[in-house]
Amino acid sequence: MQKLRRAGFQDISALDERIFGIDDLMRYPLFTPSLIANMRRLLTPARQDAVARSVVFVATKPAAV
Amino acid sequence: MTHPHDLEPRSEDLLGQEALKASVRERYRGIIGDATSIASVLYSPEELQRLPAAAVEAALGVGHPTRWATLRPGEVVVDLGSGGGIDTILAAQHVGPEGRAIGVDTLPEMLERAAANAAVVGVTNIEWRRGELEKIPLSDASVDVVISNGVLNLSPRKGRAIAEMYRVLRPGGRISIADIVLDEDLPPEIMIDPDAWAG
Repeated sequence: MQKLRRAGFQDISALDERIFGIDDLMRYPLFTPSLIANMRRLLTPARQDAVARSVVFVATKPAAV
Repeated sequence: MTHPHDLEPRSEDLLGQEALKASVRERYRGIIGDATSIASVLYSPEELQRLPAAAVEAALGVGHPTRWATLRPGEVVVDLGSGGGIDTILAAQHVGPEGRAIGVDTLPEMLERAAANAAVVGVTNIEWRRGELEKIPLSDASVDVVISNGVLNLSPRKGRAIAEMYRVLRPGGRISIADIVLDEDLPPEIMIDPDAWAG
């Protein structure tokens, strides 16, 4: 959000948050079996359920610039 | 005394940014697998019905930027990192025949695939352009809306990519960008894995 503000955007919001656990990431073909296995080995059980989150950033370019 | 080498432009990829981008491109080129289960989580059954199966199978997004973009008929919208075209096609359907969607992707084979997908459902108000987030192939202040889905996190120069979005937007224009956020770093062994970067 800081980068959006720095670029000049205004009315910045983060919407539609979704939590991604390892089971969610497995749906993505880009996450290889070895990467998934590493995540299961290295992450705590709690973190495995919430590896990352997705959000939709919305913002506006000022009307008069 | 000035050494001749001091006057030469330095073209080395000192931060490995080009190497990183090349690695991401290679991984996207080699994608094998059906991502229908991703699309079924992100998009409504009504939307999925209006989309070609091949675009649904190629969906690799992390959210639904079109839903939050409040697109209006007649608007011009650009989808950065259009991939198989699912969000570009949805956006084109929203802005209607008076509007226009532009799909931008770095991979020519993805653009061809997306164009074929749009043709299947008869959506013609789309143009496809090859380009990068950090150098969007559009002129200043030429679009009403920028959308993107799970792509900004792949850029090694996110600030530059955001500045480019700002440049191509008309005054009063808006962005709707779905992306992945890490609130806490992952262990180094995972962070340095190129598959983790591409994912």
